[in-house]
Amino acid sequence: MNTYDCYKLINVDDFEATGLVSKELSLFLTGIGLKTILITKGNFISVLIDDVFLSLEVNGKNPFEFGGYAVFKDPNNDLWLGVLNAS
Amino acid sequence: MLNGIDPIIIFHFSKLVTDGKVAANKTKLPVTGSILSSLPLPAIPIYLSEKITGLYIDTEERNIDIDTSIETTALADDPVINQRGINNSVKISMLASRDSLGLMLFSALADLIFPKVTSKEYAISYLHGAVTVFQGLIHSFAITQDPGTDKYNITLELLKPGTATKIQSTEVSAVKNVTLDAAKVPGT
Repeated sequence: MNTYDCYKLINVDDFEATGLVSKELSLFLTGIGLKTILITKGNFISVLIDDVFLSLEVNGKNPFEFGGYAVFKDPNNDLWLGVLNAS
Repeated sequence: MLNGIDPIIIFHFSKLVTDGKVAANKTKLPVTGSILSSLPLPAIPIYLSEKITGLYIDTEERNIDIDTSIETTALADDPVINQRGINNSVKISMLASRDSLGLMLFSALADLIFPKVTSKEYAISYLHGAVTVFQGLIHSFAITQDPGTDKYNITLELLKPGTATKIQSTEVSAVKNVTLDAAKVPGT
């Protein structure tokens, strides 16, 4: 089974309260380095990282895994990014 | 005039170029990719000279507003002072007559700028001796007529942008080796 290193990005409720359709985060992810992550809000909250686009809860999937990454929302409505473990 | 040079306002326009290929390649979803670049368009200078454009500067104001909150602590330590920048602006009042070229230009350019304020596909520079704004943003603009005359007052307030752009990055720690299970996600 795949394991991921998970990083907490933002709180979904706080992001939706801003009324923005997108927000760019510049985060230093420990063990990886500086990454620019775009959070967007369309029909779903989505994350764009390294050319990989992940949408939260598409077809009810939480977590949503694709292309070596995963996104999920925890019960506190915090948005997490998972990076696939190479090992 | 200062040193023989008229004050000048320069309107800069640009066009944002997006590239949808970045995300669409991987996912086949029609999604807007990140904005890659800003294409500059020719700048429009307006000389604030009574002879050339029929405009002249009446007054200038320079203003910085800061919101300061002081919180005393329960431990009677030094109070914590938090400050937040509210405004850093230059306000220019100009006079023009009804048929002046500058008045018509300003009115037309204000209409041009209005739809671009959110996309920030514009900038305004103002150069007049010690009062300068480079690549500023418009905060307010008004044209009012003096009653009983053909004189118009033009008031333009420009926000000064920051002089340095810093990328603020926050360090985020990892929760390692998590097996993602739809029934139970980390963080609970």
